[in-house]
Amino acid sequence: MALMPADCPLACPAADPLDDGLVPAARAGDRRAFAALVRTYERMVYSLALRALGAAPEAEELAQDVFVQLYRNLEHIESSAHLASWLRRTTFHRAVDSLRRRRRRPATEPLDETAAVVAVVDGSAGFGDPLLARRLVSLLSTLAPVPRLVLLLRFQEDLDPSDIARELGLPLNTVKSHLKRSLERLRALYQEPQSP
Amino acid sequence: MTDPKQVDLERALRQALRSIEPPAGFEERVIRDLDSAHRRTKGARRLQPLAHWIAPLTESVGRLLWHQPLAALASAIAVLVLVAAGGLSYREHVQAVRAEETRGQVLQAVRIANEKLDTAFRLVAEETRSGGSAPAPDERSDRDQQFN
Repeated sequence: MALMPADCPLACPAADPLDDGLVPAARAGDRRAFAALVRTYERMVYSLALRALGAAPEAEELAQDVFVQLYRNLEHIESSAHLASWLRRTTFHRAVDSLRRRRRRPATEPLDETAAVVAVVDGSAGFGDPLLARRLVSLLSTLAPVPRLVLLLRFQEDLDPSDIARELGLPLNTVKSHLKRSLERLRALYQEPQSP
Repeated sequence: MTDPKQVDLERALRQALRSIEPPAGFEERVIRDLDSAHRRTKGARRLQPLAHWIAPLTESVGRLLWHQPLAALASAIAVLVLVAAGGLSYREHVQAVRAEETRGQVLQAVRIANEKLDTAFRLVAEETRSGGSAPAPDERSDRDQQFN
């Protein structure tokens, strides 16, 4: 699904970077054009990374790496839809790798995921029940890496299951099953009484 | 907080997962990262010709090890046998060269000894022809010089 401003007013670019000549200019080495590309997509990449990892410094590092990787792959970008899709896919794979590494690595100090997420939710106040939003976002960290990222693509990026399957190269039924089970788990966790 | 039983979870998730602005200066930091990555790449490019050959080789060895461990073991043994055979053959070659040098030196020594013996025989023959009289001191020293 191509990202159009009408579909996602907050996360999406206002103009087509290919039509604006940003991609060809950046490809030719124009740093200002590349900076404009970063400005266009930074919210999308950073939001995905932050919601996936839960820690702001780690998310920022990952988002920066994704854009550096984009710069090296600009010659493969064919359209603005392809650019957005490439960024989501790369962020997804890097975030999953990062989460898996984190699970293998013995933690030297506990990650304050909830604190990071709470700060983020408070920053975007004004959309529905803030307490509910805070609880849901902190519950996301209980999901396994791939289902967590699939859920983010569905509800943050507003992608259809078929688009998620195509972008990530996963079978459609796997995506649907991740979504179904993740929602069931979140619902069950949400309905559990909170410990004081 | 909203009653858990009344929550439309999908709608709540959409509202909770609004996109977030990255920290201030993000774009500048990306460009800075890009510049330092570019410098690192320039350094790495000097080693590229070597990596161009080594990378596919290590990749194919890795693939072989992973997919056909028996074939990999057989290849490793074959390589070891070849290396051992090469080592032995090199040692034999070095020994043959040394033997040749020694033979040359022995032949040289024999030739020199032969020449000296000839000189000695000639001197003895001259001595005998001249009737056994002792040579004059000057003459003797000339002959000694010739012999030596």
